[in-house]
Amino acid sequence: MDADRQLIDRAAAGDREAFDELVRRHEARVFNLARALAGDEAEDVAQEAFVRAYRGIGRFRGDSTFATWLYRVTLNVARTHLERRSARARWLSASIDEERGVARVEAVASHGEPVDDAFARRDAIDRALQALPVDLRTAVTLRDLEGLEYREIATLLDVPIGTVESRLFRARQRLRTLLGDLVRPDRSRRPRRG
Amino acid sequence: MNDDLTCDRSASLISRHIDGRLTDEERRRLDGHLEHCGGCRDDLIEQHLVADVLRARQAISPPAGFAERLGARLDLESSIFGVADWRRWTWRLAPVAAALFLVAAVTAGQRDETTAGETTGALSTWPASVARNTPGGASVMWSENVSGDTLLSSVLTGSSPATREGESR
Repeated sequence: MDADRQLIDRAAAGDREAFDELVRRHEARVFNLARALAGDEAEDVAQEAFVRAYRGIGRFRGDSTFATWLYRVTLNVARTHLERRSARARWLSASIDEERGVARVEAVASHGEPVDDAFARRDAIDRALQALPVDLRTAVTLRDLEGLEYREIATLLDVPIGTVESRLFRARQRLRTLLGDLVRPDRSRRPRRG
Repeated sequence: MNDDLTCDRSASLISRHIDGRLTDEERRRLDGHLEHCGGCRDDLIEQHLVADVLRARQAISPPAGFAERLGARLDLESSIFGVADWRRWTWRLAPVAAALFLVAAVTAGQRDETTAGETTGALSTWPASVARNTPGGASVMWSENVSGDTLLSSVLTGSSPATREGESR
């Protein structure tokens, strides 16, 4: 049973304190997902996601865990947000194409802040993610940052598992270039074989 | 080792290898391909490295004041938009609406029973009763076979055609 079930029922009946407790339990997860998907506009996305969850909690049926449902809400908000941002950027003729993203991330990863610093590494990772197409960014974020299973990702994105696998492969392939020196091949360490 | 994999197909298997999802059969096929495909071997190493970097990313906490700002938005949502949310108040008013509907249905049923016969009879005799009870020249308007001249005269003089015909005799 979903550990949040009682709180969800109370929140659906209008108990604001119950919803506040749900926020406390999930805010870090929602904010991290929003940060990976929307970069500096993470707070807007995370807040909007919680507001929509508040409005729609009465419609939560419990077919998935509350956390998964919240992921879906956050993904939808982020997608809308990114579409608007993209439209704004086109209107302003401000190119945010991938090549610029590469240049920006490499500047940070290779020549800018010390990448050994955990915060700088996180910033470099987040910027690299921002340079990916949204579908690849979403898949790799859900898997490698949030640790969701393939089946959960496929359900959330409404795509077959094979599509999740290929998106993960392509996302990591591009990130290898985008992350630059952050990804240091350690020749003594080889992946498990066999 | 036998290799029946293309590089495209091995990409999916490499993803699954990293996430520990390969079956024994898939692992055997991937190993067979990697034996002689240097490109896919490099891919496998790089995919592992990238996944490791991403998974080591330090989680970020929401900024200070996040909960308070969200709380303020939710307060606003509850007070103003809560009223505008028809789903909430219609749900709360559902029992009242149901009771009103029931009362209206019962009342309408009773009225139908008591007035149905009267209404039908009144409608069938309506023009005749109106003509009978309407004083003076206005009653000619309900009469049949009355010429335009007679109708005009009756309205102007306030007398019925029968009266005037009787008077003239």
